[in-house]
Amino acid sequence: MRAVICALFAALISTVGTPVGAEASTAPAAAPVSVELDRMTVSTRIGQRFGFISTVRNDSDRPMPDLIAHLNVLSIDPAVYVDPEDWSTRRTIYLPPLAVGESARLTWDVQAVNAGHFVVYVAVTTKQRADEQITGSNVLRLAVAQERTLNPEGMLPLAAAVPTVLLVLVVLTARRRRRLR
Amino acid sequence: MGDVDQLPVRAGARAWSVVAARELRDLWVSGRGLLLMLAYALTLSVTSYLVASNEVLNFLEQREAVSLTLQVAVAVGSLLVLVAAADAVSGERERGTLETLLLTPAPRRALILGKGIAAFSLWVAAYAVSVPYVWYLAQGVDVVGVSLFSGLVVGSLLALFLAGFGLLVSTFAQSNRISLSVSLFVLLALFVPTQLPTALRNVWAGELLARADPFAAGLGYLGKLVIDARSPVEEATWLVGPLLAAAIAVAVALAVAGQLALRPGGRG
Repeated sequence: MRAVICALFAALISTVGTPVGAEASTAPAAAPVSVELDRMTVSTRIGQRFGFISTVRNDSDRPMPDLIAHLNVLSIDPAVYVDPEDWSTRRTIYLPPLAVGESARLTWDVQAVNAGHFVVYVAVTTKQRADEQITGSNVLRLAVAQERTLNPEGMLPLAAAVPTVLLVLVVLTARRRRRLR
Repeated sequence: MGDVDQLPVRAGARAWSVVAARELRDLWVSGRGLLLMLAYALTLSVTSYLVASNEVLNFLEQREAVSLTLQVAVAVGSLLVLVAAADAVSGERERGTLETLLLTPAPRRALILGKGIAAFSLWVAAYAVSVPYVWYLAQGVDVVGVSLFSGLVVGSLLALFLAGFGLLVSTFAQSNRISLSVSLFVLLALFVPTQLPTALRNVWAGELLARADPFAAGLGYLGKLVIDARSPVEEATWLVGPLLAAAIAVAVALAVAGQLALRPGGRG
């Protein structure tokens, strides 16, 4: 399973939308499936959830059993690290068999956990041909705006003030005890 | 409890409230409670500043940072309660003041209840100290209400459990050293399930252990509400373990209070 997902990811980095295995010098073979996303762009704020639908269609001349769809997120900015596991808890969907010309709609739920610009796409393969052919969807361009988050400058006065107040109380209590004695 | 020989148990006054008032005064006016709060505040200051100054945290990791601060607040706050409760009887025994205490007209159950209330007051104060830290960190990721609410519920249940457990051990321990050692050993053992790998927690035995252990269940409940944004009601079953543990520990500590003796196993 992990190998399949890794293979999907590695292949898609270089060949989104193109069947893997097609040589540069030769015409790419027609993909047996097509994947379309219902949204092209999404703008949101960090922490917000959004959803989109991908439609997977069997374009081949034979039924397609064991189709696997996988969601991926990549950052355009090399300084922003993306852990796709954080973005969606359900990133791989195993589809029921698709008859010739039949399609399936898959709903994806995503939470924006980093600020920046990202590309979201869905890759599809079959259980039997995972190591040789992967089809990628069109891309969804995602812009995530930063919101107010943890603020270290504001934290410092608070982190100093609370113990200071308690220290003053300790000293005052000790003085009072000494006076009572 | 220094001047226990003058314990004014007036007619009509509830003995436990008199004992509690004396113990609370002893704890807070003597400055011992304030010193513990100072150490507690320093721990929270260091923890919260470290998590707030980490600039590479993503949104979920920031929620985790809030959850971490909350868990430290709850765990250390309830640890203070355990230390005070474990000292309650065995400390008097070791300092030679238990005999005087037992000669007062207060029922022994009232003595234990009063001491338990004083120990629990450490959690109340600890929670009050933790509020500004949690409020400040949680407002950045909009989880102030849920953090403060869940921290209060879970912390109170764990503090009740540890107060009951500490008093129980202290009632039967010959010395303070034994009482504190046993209490802290059990506390450490209760923390072990919180470190179980996720894969182990997903099998039925692991989940049962995590739900039965009051610490794993309580701290897990905090994580589910603060990090995963689950509703308090949806995950309420995680509170069954801490609730049962608190009820049983307090009930047993009060039930065996009648056996409180000058020497463990002896008769008053």
